[in-house]
Amino acid sequence: MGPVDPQFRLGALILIGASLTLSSPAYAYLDPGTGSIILQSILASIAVAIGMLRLYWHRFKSFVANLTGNSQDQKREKNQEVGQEPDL
Amino acid sequence: MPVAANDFDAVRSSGFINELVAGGNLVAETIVDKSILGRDGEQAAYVLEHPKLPFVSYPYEWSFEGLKKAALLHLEIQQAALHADVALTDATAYNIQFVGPKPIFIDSLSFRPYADGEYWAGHRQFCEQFINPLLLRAAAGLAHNAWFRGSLEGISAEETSRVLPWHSRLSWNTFTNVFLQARLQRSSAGAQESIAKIKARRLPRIGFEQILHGLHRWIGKLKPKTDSKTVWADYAQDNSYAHEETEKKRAFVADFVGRVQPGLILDIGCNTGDYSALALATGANLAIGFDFDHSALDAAFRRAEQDSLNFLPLHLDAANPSPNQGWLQAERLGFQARAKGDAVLALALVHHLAIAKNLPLGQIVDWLVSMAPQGVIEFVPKSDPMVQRLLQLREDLFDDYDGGIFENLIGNAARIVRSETVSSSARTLYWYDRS
Repeated sequence: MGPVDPQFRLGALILIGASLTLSSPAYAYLDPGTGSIILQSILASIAVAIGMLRLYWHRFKSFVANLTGNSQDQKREKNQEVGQEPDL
Repeated sequence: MPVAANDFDAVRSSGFINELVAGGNLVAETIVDKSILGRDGEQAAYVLEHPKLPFVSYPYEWSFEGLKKAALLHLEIQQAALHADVALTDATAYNIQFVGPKPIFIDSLSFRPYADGEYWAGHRQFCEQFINPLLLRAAAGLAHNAWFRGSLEGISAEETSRVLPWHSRLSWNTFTNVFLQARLQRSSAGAQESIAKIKARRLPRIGFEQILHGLHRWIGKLKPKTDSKTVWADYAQDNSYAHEETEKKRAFVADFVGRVQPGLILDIGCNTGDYSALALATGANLAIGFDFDHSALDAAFRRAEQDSLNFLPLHLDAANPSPNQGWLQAERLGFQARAKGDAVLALALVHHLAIAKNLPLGQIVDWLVSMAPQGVIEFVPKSDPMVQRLLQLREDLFDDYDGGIFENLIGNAARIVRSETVSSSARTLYWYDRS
């Protein structure tokens, strides 16, 4: 398949989680073309990767905000969370 | 029950089809009694009836702006479909038609239930019939029309990658959809092992959504690359008419349209759509304009959208109109078979055909008159500066290009209801009626 393979494996790792629940044949009325399918995998992997990075970035930001106590909102959220888990 | 009928039921039970129809994005449908088809109907699970569209056009006749609008509609339908757990079987541009400048999807049978994890089967087709033709113009300044007409299934990534300028790789979307796709197609072609791997792969829904979203945002921003003015785009502002003479011409056309009240008026040589707009304001219901200048067509399309005109400007080289073509040469009808209006306008057109294209004056008149029972045709005499410009660099071989001869030709083909000289250079308008 050529030079994109490493990229592809990286994408595939990210996709594993998302793909666990998926099952269906790729039946099609027209030939989608191998180039198009591989490209879609790459684009989707990147989209999913960016989504995850965003998610972790937001978590990281919340974490830092909590540490420094800058955000009243997050403090409140944190207190609520603690409140929901009594006797720990 | 056949698969298609099951898909039909499943998609309709979701309410998705009704929503698309209500939004004017999909042609309406009614399930009618099968007996309407006689014996053919016995085999069918359903027989559908659709309202007839006023005019059929093809992607190789659309302007850049028109093709772009059609591409965006396709993506919007894909997005809405995915949201409703529905997929499209293909992405052909021929599944879109126009009502005025508004695109409408016409293949209500190309919807089926979405299966989790399936690929976008029509992605390559979408690239070939929408993205690549648009990029030719946006990135390389080439209009898609001639190429698309010669290659009805669109323009491949491979071909596009060979003509786009090198720096267009710097655009992420162009790089991935054109250059990378072409390369992946090349490198994976014929490799049976990779085919098996590919078939086993899944596209997560969120990835599919992101691809559609990204394409929509990108295509929405594409613009034609036009560094210099094209010949006719500024014609409406920049021609040799004095204002008063233009008013005379407009009054003649307004009077004609007001009295004829055509449902469909064909405006041959529509430029940016001045006279189509006038016709719609004075009694015509729908105007289909034709011109060969791409920038003029784009301007006309934008005007139709901005002013909500029931006007569709299309590309036409009058000396070489769209032929009957495709499978059995019957798949896509030629211009001649479709261009039947209630009225026709041919303003400032005849001299381009007779002088610039060396076509016989009598044939031009017959051709125009054949399009509609009534119409207005303008004759621009040799003394006019516009004709002088056409003759600047060539020998004047046109002895029979003459007002008197022209009038006789029109008189032979139809009855002249009225004629009027509208400029100091003796431009003359003829209202003909052959009904």
